[in-house]
Amino acid sequence: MSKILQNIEANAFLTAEEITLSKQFIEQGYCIIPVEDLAGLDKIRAEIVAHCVDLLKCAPPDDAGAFLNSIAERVGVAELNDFRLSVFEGVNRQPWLRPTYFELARTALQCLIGNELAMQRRVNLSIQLPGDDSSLLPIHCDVWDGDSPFEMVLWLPLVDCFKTKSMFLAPPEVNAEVQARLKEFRGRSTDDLFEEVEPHLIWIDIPYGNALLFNQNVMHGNRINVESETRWTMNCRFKGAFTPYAEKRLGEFFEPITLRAASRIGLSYELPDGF
Amino acid sequence: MGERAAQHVQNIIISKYAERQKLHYLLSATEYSMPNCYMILEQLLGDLAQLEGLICYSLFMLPTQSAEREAIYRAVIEADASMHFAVEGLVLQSGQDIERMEALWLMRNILPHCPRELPGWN
Repeated sequence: MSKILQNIEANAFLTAEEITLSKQFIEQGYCIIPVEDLAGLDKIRAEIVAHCVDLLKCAPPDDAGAFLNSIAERVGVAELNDFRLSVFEGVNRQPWLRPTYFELARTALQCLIGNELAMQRRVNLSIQLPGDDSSLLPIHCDVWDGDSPFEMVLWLPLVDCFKTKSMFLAPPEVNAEVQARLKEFRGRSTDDLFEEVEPHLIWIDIPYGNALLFNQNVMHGNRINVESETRWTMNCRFKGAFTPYAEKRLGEFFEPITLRAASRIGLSYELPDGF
Repeated sequence: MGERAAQHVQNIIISKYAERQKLHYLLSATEYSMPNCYMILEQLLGDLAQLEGLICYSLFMLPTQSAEREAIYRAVIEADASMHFAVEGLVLQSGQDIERMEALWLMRNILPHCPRELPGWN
């Protein structure tokens, strides 16, 4: 383990709360926190439900969670992706979405990443119907797909998520051990990799009202949802605004959201010239 | 700003963008290849009265000097036109959009100077 990941508790510049959360994140690869703005979460979910109601031309439900959980009664696998994209486009058109999403975990994001952040420009929406094998994410690390190792994901359940109605991730020590010998999987598949780590995986149990922050440099993904209810989750990447970008570039994918006064002054300063 | 894709690839991206945004794509224009030359862009800016706007491949193909970019933004806004950037999916239509474009530009300029490692730190 790199020295930089150790001994954070000895850092005299961090508060006890910052040390606790940071240590948990480094050691586990994730943290589950109660959302910091429950009204904001309810607003996001209500907007999602409103778009669904509009598309399905059905009556608004009394219970948003039950409605989303049982969406498979109204939407089949064949229509799912078009349905999901319509809802995704609709909710991302709301100018309040990204600030509200950020507010759900502002303190935790600033503790774990920093207070000058860049945020993904659109918040992703994932719907996984029971038994559907068309919307699977094979085991992967986002950094293997070209993402910057400085990115972190804020994953938000819109319904209670558990077991196969959720996602899995590999603990950092398992991840490190497998990554060190990943070349052994040359000529083999992601299913082979999954089988290797399956006994060690953590399935995230996270009720509505909570948010998951996870390290996208550890192996994670999902499998077929064999529960009776549909998974609805959103996810969005954050990173330090001035940390290295990779395939997900500044401008086309990320945008700064909390540039502070000193950075604004520094960015716009020009030395006198013409000498 | 080092943004380079083959011209025919840029044309595909731009025309797909126009199709998705339901913009009436008239024709493509190719800038002269000399570094820091924007004569074709200047010509198009002069023709804005006859156009609804322009679609550029990328925001980061604009001039590296902020004063020159500002002049371009102003020309577009004063012509009551729009300037689209296909790769980033951004649109300049009003003065409010300038801040967003410039924040991205200024950050892009500074990032090569940010440390990628912190030797000796623990």
